[in-house]
Amino acid sequence: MSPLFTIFISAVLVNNFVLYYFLGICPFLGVSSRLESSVGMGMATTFVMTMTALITWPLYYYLISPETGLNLPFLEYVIFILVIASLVQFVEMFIRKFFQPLYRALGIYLPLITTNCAILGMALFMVIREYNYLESMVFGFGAGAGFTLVIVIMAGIREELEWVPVPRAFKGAPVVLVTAGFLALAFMGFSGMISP
Amino acid sequence: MSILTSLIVLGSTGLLAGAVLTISYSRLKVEEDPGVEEIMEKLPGLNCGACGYASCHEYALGVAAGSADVSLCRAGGPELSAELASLTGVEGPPEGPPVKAVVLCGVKDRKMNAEYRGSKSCLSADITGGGGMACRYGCLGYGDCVKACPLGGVRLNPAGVPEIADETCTGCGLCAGACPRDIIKVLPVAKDSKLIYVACSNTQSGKNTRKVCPDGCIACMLCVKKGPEGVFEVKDNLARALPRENGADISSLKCPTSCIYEKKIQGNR
Repeated sequence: MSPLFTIFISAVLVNNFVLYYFLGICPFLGVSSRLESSVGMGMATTFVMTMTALITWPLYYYLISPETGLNLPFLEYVIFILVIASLVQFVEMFIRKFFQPLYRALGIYLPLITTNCAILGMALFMVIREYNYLESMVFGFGAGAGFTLVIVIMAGIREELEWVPVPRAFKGAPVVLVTAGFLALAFMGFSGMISP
Repeated sequence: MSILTSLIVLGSTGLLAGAVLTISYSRLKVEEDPGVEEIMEKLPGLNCGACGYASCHEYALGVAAGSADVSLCRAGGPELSAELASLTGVEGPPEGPPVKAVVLCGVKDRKMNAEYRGSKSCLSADITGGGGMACRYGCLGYGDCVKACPLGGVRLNPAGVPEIADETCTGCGLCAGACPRDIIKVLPVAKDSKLIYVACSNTQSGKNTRKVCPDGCIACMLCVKKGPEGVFEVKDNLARALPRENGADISSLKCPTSCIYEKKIQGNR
């Protein structure tokens, strides 16, 4: 298998950001009540993740890195967050212009992509694992695709949950958390296939 | 040295990001009518849907575009339509008296013919032989109106009859629509800020009403004969309070089944 394909499958399934690393739980639980908006959220996150990888890679290796850059490792987090925040602003403008209903459905969760730890986590993993430019792009896209996959599965389950007689003590958030746990259990079946 | 480089690096990255955002903003700017925001601030923001629009925002868009009538928001009431009218320059509807929802049933102890074990909702109980309740007109007490109120202004009293918080009630009528027996009515408040109503909806003869409920109106005509003129009428074996503009004094009136209620309304919205 080519390393690119391995990285992609690893990010989507085996080491899924939401269910393996438990990153990005906030939008995963917050925007997964309806299928339509969860697809939108997944798309927006995938776009932001891929673009983050594309922009932060050169920034890291030409400005921050101790070996090839200006040796400013303490700027890593600030610069990454800056890039992510700007990208989210851009995505917000874009969605507001062209997809008004989606904009209102996502609501507060759209600006909250800024603080979605899955995105910052992706950028930091990219550095730790020393991916090259192409690998980073594939990794960013894979991480976003994995997030989309999981949030869409979750939304599908939650839409069905509406029709199920849930015991009173489990109504609302508890049953969602239990569902997330089962989903994580299912994804455990992939574990060990590829080490991160 | 490293402080200076980090300042330059961070500053220039920030400036670059800012520049890109500024350029894309000028390209992707959404032309939204500034009036929409202003109207949104006035609207109650309940998204109750009583106006026929999906949300308050949709309604605000309609009002701003001039395609929606300013008087549609029932939660906001006549005050809001006046505000919207002055905001958009459209002529508003004539101002009416404030309206409040009242419950036309005052049962304190329900007589039951049968036990009802179905879904705990008035609608289901009503279509299931009246939920075992002897009176076919009275309040079933499962609280469909409580769920219907977007402001949480309806609750059931110990007897299981809804109580409406007058300072919360906007007269939107959503509770009235939720009641399968139609015993919640939205009535105008008179000038002395009093609301007089007969808390019974049973149109059976007095004798038969008596059989199913000790608190129902038996159409004894006492309120028509002894009460102030033009306040009550009895039709179809049921006393009703007539709509009126001016106040009326009913303190001396003694209803034998005490189903005439008087509410003092404070803090009209």
